[in-house]
Amino acid sequence: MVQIKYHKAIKKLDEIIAKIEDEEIDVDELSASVKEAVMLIKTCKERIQKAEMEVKNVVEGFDEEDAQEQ
Amino acid sequence: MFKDNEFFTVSQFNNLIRDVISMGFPQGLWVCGEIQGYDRNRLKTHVFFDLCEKNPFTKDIIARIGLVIFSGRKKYIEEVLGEAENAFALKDDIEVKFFCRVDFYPPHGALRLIVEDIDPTYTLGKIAQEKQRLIALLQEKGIFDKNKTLELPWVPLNVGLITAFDSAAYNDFLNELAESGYGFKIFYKIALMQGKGAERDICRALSTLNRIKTLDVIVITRGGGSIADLSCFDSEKIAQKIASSSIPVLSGIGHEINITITDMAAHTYQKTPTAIAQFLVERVDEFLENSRQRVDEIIQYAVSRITDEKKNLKRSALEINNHTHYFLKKHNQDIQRITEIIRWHPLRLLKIFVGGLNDRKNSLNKVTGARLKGVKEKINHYEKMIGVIDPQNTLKRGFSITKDPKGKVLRSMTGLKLGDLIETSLADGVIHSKVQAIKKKSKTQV
Repeated sequence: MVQIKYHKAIKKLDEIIAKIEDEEIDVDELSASVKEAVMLIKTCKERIQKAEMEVKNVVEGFDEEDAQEQ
Repeated sequence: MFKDNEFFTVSQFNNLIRDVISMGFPQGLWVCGEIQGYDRNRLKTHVFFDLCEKNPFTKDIIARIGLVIFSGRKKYIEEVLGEAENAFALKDDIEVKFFCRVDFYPPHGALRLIVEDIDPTYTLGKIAQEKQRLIALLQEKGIFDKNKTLELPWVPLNVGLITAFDSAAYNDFLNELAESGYGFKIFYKIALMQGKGAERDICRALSTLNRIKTLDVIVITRGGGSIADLSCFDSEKIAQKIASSSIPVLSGIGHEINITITDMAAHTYQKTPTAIAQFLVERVDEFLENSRQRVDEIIQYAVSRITDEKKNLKRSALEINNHTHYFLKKHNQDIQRITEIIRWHPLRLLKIFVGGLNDRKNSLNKVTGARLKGVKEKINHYEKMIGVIDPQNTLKRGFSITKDPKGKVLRSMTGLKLGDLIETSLADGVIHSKVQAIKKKSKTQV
């Protein structure tokens, strides 16, 4: 599955929030938009966690490599 | 003094001369001069030769006298020279100082100096003087510096060798090189290393070897032993040849005390053939050692560079980690903010919507209130109108409704029987009765 890009997700979220904040949104759309927003938030959070973990792993891996060589 | 008929026979005359000379030179005396015609007679029992004096400028012979070294004296003279460490041997063209008896030999009618003794210090002084003169001259011309300006190759493996045929020097030199195990390559030129021919041979060999462009060095070497005839290396011609050589010349002439002009003109000089060989071997050793050191230095440098770069990379990695951490933290905060908004805002929005609905309801009420009143009145009127025809109202005015036992409203007598239970509804209640009599009305009465 092609995942939505983080910055696109954030953009989408900003749009939804703007709509909600400006009270432009139709009630019928509201729950759907909120559902979408929550999903996007979840995705973004996962991305951040995943990125942090991967970076940590990579850097630690680098340290280990270094330690092994020495 | 003599009468006409008085005369000398040749022998008488010669004997007279001898007597006169003997009286004139009762003792021996020291005579100095340059030896000539010695070399060609030197192996004879008695060596006859000349002593000359030259014009110091024109070099023309201005005086000459015959000398003889008798076989009996020859050994003594050699002993004296030997005591002077054989620094020179009797030969043509050298300046000597002999102690001589003056002798006139009647059978030949010849005057001769009979050599009794020699003073080697005179010759040595002359040789030294001559050498000093030559050194000064060559120094002035810069002859001694020229070969030294040539760069000695780091790995001098191609060696031009000038030495005597199959000499000790030749063997010593080659053995020493062979022992090193390095791949020395020898270009050998045979040359006389003493006597008159040495200068010519060495000069020729230098010329020949200079034509071999692959040569790294030329070595002129000679074995140890007697230091006699060393003077052939104090040669201006050899010095000139060395100066014009395009290949570095190394000399190892095998002497201990004085360095020769050949040595001075050479790039480098050593005392013996072995020493020269060692010099070459050490040069190669040094090169290899330097190379090893350079390799070590390069390795050390590389290792330290790699270590430095590793440190840099590690630092970069940490920085990446930190930056990422901050970056992601910021995004996390954004997401949290968004989450809060999404959590609360829609609910608030719904409340607002509900509020909007209520407002509308209220305004609707207001707007419709007035109209509703009119409608209500109408409705009341209708209600009243409806009330008139309402059976209840009829009952109130005194009418009643009677129903048969089946609950059917009685409109006629027909069907009703005596004893039937009937129900009569009034405005304020119900009466249950029993039919006791039935009277039918005439039609007109109705």
